[in-house]
This record gives sequence, C-alpha cells and structure tokens, in this order.
Amino acid sequence: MDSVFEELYEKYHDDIFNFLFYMVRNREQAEDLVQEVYIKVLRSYKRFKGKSSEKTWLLSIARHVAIDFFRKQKSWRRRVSEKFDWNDDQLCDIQPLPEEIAIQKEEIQLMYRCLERCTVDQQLVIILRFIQSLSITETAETLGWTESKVKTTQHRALKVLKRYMEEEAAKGGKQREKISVE
Amino acid sequence: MKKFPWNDECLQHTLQQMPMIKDYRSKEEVYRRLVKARKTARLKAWFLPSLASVVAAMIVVALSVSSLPMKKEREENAEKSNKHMITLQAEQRSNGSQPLLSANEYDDIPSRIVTKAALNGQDIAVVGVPDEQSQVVIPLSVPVKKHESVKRQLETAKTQIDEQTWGVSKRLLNGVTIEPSRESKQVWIVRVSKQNPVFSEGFTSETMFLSSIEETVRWMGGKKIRFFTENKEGMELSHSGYVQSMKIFNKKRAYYLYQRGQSHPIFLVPSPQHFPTFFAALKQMKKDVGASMRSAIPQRVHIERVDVRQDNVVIRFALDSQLDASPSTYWMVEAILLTAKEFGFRSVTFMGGNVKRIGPYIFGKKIAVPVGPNPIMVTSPAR
Repeated sequence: MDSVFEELYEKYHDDIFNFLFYMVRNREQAEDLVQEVYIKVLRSYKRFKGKSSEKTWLLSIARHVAIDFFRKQKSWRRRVSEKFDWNDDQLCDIQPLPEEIAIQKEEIQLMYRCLERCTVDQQLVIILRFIQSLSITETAETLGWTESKVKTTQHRALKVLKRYMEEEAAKGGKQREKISVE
Repeated sequence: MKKFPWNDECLQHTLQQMPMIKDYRSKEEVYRRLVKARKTARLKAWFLPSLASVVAAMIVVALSVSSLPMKKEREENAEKSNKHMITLQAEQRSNGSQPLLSANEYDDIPSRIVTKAALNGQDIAVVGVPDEQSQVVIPLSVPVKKHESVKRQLETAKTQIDEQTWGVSKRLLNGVTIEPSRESKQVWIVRVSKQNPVFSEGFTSETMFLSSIEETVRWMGGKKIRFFTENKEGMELSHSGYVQSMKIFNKKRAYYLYQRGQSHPIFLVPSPQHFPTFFAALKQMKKDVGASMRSAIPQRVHIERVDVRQDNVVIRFALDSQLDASPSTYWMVEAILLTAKEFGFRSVTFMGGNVKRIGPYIFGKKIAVPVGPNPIMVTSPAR
C-alpha cells in the first residue's frame, strides 16, 4: 500500500468523506469522489509545499472535485431535459434521509433539508465552518477566498438558513394541525 | 421541535450537532478501488486522445483519397502559390529516387531554427504555445525589440502569433503575464487571471498550460517559476492541485517534426521523454512518437559515430547515408542542432555522408547551436 495514501487516509479520510457526503448528499457518490480526491492528491503530493496545512489543502481538492461533479451533473441534466423536454423539477429526485440523519432529532433533520436549499458557496462555508469546525482562516485557505468573503458568505448563509428553518417549521406545524383535524 | 424565531447561536449549535458521516469501507477496500480508478484514469488520459487522433487521421486519409482525382488541377495551383510550404507528404515522396528539391533550392525551405548570426542585432522571444488539438507545446521564436522589458517582449510575441496561420491556440496564455522577478533573473513570476480557462477545464488544459509556461521560461533562461492567481500566490488547479512554484530542470530531449495539418507549416518540437545520452536521443529521432510527432532523422540516414569533444559534438554520417537535397534532410540537421543544445553542447560538427554541405550547414566546420526554435514571420516586424 502506498505510504502517502496510508498516512493521508489515517489522518484525513473521515474529514474528507464527511465533507463530500454533506456536499453531494449521496453515499455512493461520495465514495466515488473520495477516490478522485486521492488520485489528484497522490498526483500532486510532491508539489505540496506545506505553506497551507495538509488538511486545508486536501479539503480544497475535495471542494474542486465536488464542484466538478456538480458541473458535470448540471450539464447532464441540461442535456437530458433538452432531449426529453422535461421540467427541471421533474428531474429532482427527493432522496430519503441518510440513516445517520434520520435517527437524529427533528431539528437536525430539518437543518439537513434546509442546507440543501442554500447556494453551493453557502453550503461550502457552513459545512467547513460548523460541521468540519474549521476556523475562518482555515476556511478561507480551503476555499481560496479572503477571510472577509468567508465572513460575508457565512452571515448570508445563516440568514437564509434561519428563514428556511422558520418556513419549514411553519409548514410542519400546519401539516401537524391538518393531520390532527382529520 | 423549536417554534421560536431562530437566532445565529441556535443555528450554529444545531449545525455543530450534525452527525459525522463515515465511510463504511475499510482502508484496504478504499485503496483497492483507488488503484483501479488510477488505472482507468491513466487509460482514459492516453487512450481517448490517441483514439481521437487515429479517427481524425482516418478521416483525413479517407477525404484525401476520395478527392484526389478531381482536385489535381487545384493542387497544382496551390503548389504554385504555396511554394515554401513543404509538407510531411513531400518527405514521404522524397524517400524514393526523386529528390524534391535540388541543392540550390535550399533557399526556398523555411529554416526551423534561429542562429545567433541571423539575429542581426534584433532580439527574439520564445513562447511555448499549445497546438490547436492540445497535443504538443510548440516553442515559437518571435522577433522583438531589443531594449524592451522581457515582460513586454513576451506580450508582443504573444500578440504576433497568429493562431490560424500556425495552427496553435493561445487561449490558455491570454491574460497571463510572464516576467523575471526583481530579485533574480532566474526566478520568474507568472501571473494568471482568475478567468483563465485553466481553472475551469480538465487535466489536459492544466498540463498544456504548465508545459507552455515551463517551455517559455526555459527558453528565456529562467530556472524557477512562481505562480500567482492575480495577486494571490499559487494556483488552485482542479486536477493538479495547488501549484505554487515549479523548478526548471535541465531536460535532455530530442526534437521531432510536427505538423498540425496540410495547410500548416512543419515545426520542430521537443519530445515528451528525456534521454540519458545524446546518442540515445539521436537513435530515438529515427522513430515516430505517437501519431503526431514524426521522426526527424530519415531512415535512409545512418549515423556512424558520435564523438564528444568538450562542448562540441562531432556527428559522422555513414557513407551509405542518402543526404539528399530534400527538406527532410535540411530539417534533420536543424533538429540535431536543437537536440545538441538540450544536452548542453555549444556546437556541432557534421562529417561524412559523402556530402560537403546541407544547405548553409557546412560539413567539417563547427556549427553553433541555435538561439531559438521555429522562427515565425510576423506582419509588423520589430524595429
């Protein structure tokens, strides 16, 4: 086994997988993407100078891999919708909650759903800052942004998440009321 | 479930409670899949472009065969107007008993090197530019004003290269500034705009971009490159990862013939692989490299001996070599001179072969290695 792979796996595999999973929301896709991350990392490991931390360097590669995946998916969806004249909405498949989320309390489940409604940039910041517990500096390093951009995006992301959570809570409340009347 | 208005603290607290999603696979399984995926990636990287080249070549052959009888007259006219365009097809025909050009017609063959004497007080800037199909990086020498800054010289050179005429694509180099650093002439600064396609395209574009920059800086005398994305140090490339700097090592490469298409000129391009010795490189120059790079030393030419005398190398051709007056012989000499430069020689002496000279290259005399490859004529020459 490649010693570089072994070392990186031991130190960062869980973080990389967790990050990719929250980005693509599908275990199999996260498994495929994590392979791509390793391919790219092993290819360019000799060029890594250690100016940024190994973790942020790996996460920045994972971020590129995820964005590439979204780009490909988008063009595939565009091609399919052009061919079959479907609405974009019809192509959205509502996936069941992953087991790890489904067993959590309702707030967590709702948060998982609401996170999906954020933009990719907002999701990146939220995942890195709060789920991966990276600092503002580390997040900026990973994303190649300035710290002020991270702060602004984080602020906006929390603002929209708040709105979505309240909307969802209201919907949930109404649904429960409706169910109880029936 | 919380029904009160959410504040930032509550949101952050909930986000921090999101569970860690783990990969169920073992380390061994992940590694096994990685090895498999790497093999597939390598196969894709080599097989698909090669397949595309083969298909393209088959289409070209099919088209040229089908249109041959009808287009004879048109071809004759084209030959007249394009007298100096000598193609690889010409080389194939020249393998027979009829040499295409007689010795005094060497003047009509465009040289593929720049000699120090030919500079005539001018300067050249060498820019490595990818061909239209992103297969090779072609180093092109462009005449520039002598007293301008190197940055300006390279900028001018880039603008002077006409993509259609030379069959190259400059898009990866647009908006890229290349200049020596203030501290050292050996360290070069390459500044790339965020909009450059290298950030949004695949691995091929990244490789082409890095190879073009490396080739340019190598010819301009740099030993190290520091990359900047606008004002931020480094480049975050999707496939190659984070690239902050690159060292320019001595590469001992061989030169081959490359032609984008029938309407484009032939260039001399360096091989992707390196060779341990000059002799090994010469031996390899008799073989094609893939579909795009053609051998620079024709099969009818035999090298009997190579002697290294300090910074001069003596090449003796066997007497049965057919050093005829064809363009391929002329470009062979130039390809050997460029290859000799790669190996650090300052001059080459050609001997044997039953000839006294090949064009301007006189046998038995030291010939200085070129200062640049592939000179291109520009519309408004530097004053």
